[in-house]
Amino acid sequence: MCHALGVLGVMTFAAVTAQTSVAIAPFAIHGAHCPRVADPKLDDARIGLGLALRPPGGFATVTMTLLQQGVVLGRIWQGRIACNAIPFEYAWDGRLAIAPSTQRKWVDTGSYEVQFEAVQDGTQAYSMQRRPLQIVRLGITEVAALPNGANTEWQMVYFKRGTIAGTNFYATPVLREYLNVADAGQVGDLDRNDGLPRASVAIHTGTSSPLLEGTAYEDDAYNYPLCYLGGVQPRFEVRFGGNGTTMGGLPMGAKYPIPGVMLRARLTSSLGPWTTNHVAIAPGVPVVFQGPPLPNRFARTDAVLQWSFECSTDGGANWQAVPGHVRTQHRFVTVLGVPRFGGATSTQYSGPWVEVVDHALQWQQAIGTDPATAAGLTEAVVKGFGGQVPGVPLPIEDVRYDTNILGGDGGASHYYDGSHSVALSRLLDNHQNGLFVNCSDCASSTAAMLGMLGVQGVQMNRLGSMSLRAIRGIGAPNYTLALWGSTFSHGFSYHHVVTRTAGTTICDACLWVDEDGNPNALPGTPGHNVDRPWSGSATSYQSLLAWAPISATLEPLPLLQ
Amino acid sequence: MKPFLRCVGASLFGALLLAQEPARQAPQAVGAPAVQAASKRYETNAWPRGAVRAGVDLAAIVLPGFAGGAIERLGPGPVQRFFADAGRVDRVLVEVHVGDDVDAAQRHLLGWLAHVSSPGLVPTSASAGIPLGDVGFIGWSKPSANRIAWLAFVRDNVAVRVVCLDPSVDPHPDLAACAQLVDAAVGREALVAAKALPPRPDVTMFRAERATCRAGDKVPLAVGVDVAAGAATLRFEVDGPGQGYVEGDGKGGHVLCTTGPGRVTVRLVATGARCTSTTTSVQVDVGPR
Repeated sequence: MCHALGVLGVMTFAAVTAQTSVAIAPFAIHGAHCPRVADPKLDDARIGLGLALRPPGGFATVTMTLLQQGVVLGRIWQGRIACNAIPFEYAWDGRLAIAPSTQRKWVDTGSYEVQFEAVQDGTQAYSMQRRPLQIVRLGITEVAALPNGANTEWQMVYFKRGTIAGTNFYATPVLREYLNVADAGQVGDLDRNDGLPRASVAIHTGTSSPLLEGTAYEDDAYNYPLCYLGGVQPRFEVRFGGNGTTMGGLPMGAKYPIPGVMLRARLTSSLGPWTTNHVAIAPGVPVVFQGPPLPNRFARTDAVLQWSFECSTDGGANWQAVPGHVRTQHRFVTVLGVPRFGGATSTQYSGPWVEVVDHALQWQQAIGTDPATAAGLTEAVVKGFGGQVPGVPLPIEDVRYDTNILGGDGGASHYYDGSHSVALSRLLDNHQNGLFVNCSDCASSTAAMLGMLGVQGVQMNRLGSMSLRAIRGIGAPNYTLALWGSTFSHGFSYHHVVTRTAGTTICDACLWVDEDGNPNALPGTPGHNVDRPWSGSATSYQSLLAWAPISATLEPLPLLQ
Repeated sequence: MKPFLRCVGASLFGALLLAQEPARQAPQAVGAPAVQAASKRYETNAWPRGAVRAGVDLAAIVLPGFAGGAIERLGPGPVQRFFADAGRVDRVLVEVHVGDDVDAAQRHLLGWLAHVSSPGLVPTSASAGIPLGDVGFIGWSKPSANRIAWLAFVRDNVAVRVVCLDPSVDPHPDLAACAQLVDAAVGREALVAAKALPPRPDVTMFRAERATCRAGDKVPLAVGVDVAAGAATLRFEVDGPGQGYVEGDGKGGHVLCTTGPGRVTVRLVATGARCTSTTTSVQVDVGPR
């Protein structure tokens, strides 16, 4: 399809007649131009082919032709335009019909010339100019998120492998979190086998499993979320593809670098502009961009990045835009601090779990806590884990406290075990180890979640036996003064909670205490245990939970399964 | 010649083969006081002490009306097998820990008991008329309706917990019968010679084709496991600071796909049919791409 951007027949006949009568210079094309470099497969790549015809007045037939090594490949455009000082410009889409009966197809990469010819009406005066045009193939094949200083960027983790049973930890690749290259049987990295440009890879929005192809991990096209410390300026190491596919399905090179021509990339985004100090790009050679500061809070930010290109024929003194651009999307997760894990920190699961981030964000947004502070994030996780609050109607994975009055038994652990590890992957997998949870399950899970989200100082706290006041267990419909029915007295043999202040305050997602002023009677008023002081007042955790002082032993973050 | 899951010529593979060792035992430091306290409360000195057996063939357990899933082991936890009903919904979970000796198994049982929140002692299964193992315990959901949430017992060096995943769901699985099936299976296992350890899967080979590579390389792994004592489930764990994952190569073998530079330790946990495990590691130094 032809696109005339310039002036076509805007002059009146009278004006043309008048100007023709005063023409003094010979008929000629002036200022024929086309981009030195173009990639017609870029988005919105309109290759501006322009010229002006002088002297003003009258009309001429203009023909634009593509040549390679002096041989005419086909006509780009032909039409009749007014001779005018105002330049005419045709926006070419880079497609060419080799013969009139053939379909117009994108031109392969290579070195070409655009030939501009004009024949003046009446006089049949002829003028011709040629301009070099390098058709290249530009596209992003890899993006690796780099840290910007120590402890500023981490790999994220999936705990499932498709529908395969069990836990399979997969950390997003350090080499590149974004990859878009040819799969087996495909010809070129930047194009499909039919020659059409390969689309950018969409953000992987799954939360439990990475992408699979068949039963194997996807290894040629993925776009995984990135995790940065809040407020950090992200750094991307980017690689540009080196090959594409002709419209005939054959491999073709990207056809740059170009002798005497410098090519560079520019990046803008919905986050703001990115900076780079690279001099020139070449296929497969990494260049680094630095983005604007990410939100300084716990957040998930999806950004659209628009990559454009510029060329210079004078050693970088002046730059000309390469028409078009390519867009990629990236998901940035920002955390408030260094993610912490129990045990070794070098294992496959040691990164913020995508699913945990997803849960925490939903809770934070539903409950409306401050995402910029550890206190706000802690509140979101503790309240959200327990649910039954406005915006979060159910506990995580719809679990409930393991008491026989709710259908469970006597408060056994199902996810935490004696090795001080928690099968968080099982819990997140539709409560696979069972519907019921006890305090150790809740405490180990919330401690692990807070730790991996960058909340500092998180520990478990094992409390001794106690006689209870009114409590409401996770998933329970009401407060109770008979947690175990008639089986046992209303108490705990032990209780597990979380602290991020070495025990001076308590987080407990397993139960609510009663804040109505009479914690020994029903009904109860929800008393969430988010950084609740351990002791020292009538509303302290110890005071509201139990009848007598409780012993406590601090424990580290649990191991993860 | 012994059958191998896969055996590749050792001469091809130069990476370090680390010592073969039993699967990681649960660290006892954290929570050990709780287990010790439970030991006193449950008066384990009075518990019968059996012998050491080869384990229990969990894969061979058939629970009537349920379809058993794969044998799984997550990290240091017990070996697990889920059993699903006709609707393919998991209803029963059987967890097994085979100790090197009777004490280890009893400690594991105590670990379960120590993390029961309700005050008082968990009743014995015998008190409910369900004899199990050397000593067994019952987690009631609703005694009046004979609904059992879980049964845990130890027989010899094997600790078992049979869990009803939702005791409120009908029909309620006959957990006592399930547990007794497993108990009987333990009892059928061969006794191990005095002072000997239960047999473990014999990982005859675990080597990486290269000891060094560049990030992004795929490094074939040669794995050989003697399956004379039963098929083993293989699980690969990758430790950093390098990064990668282990993938099937489409030909029955395995390949380490490296995704980040640094030394990678690939740990193979082979869990045999009788719920014992062997862990073997190889290291590969992954350089920049």
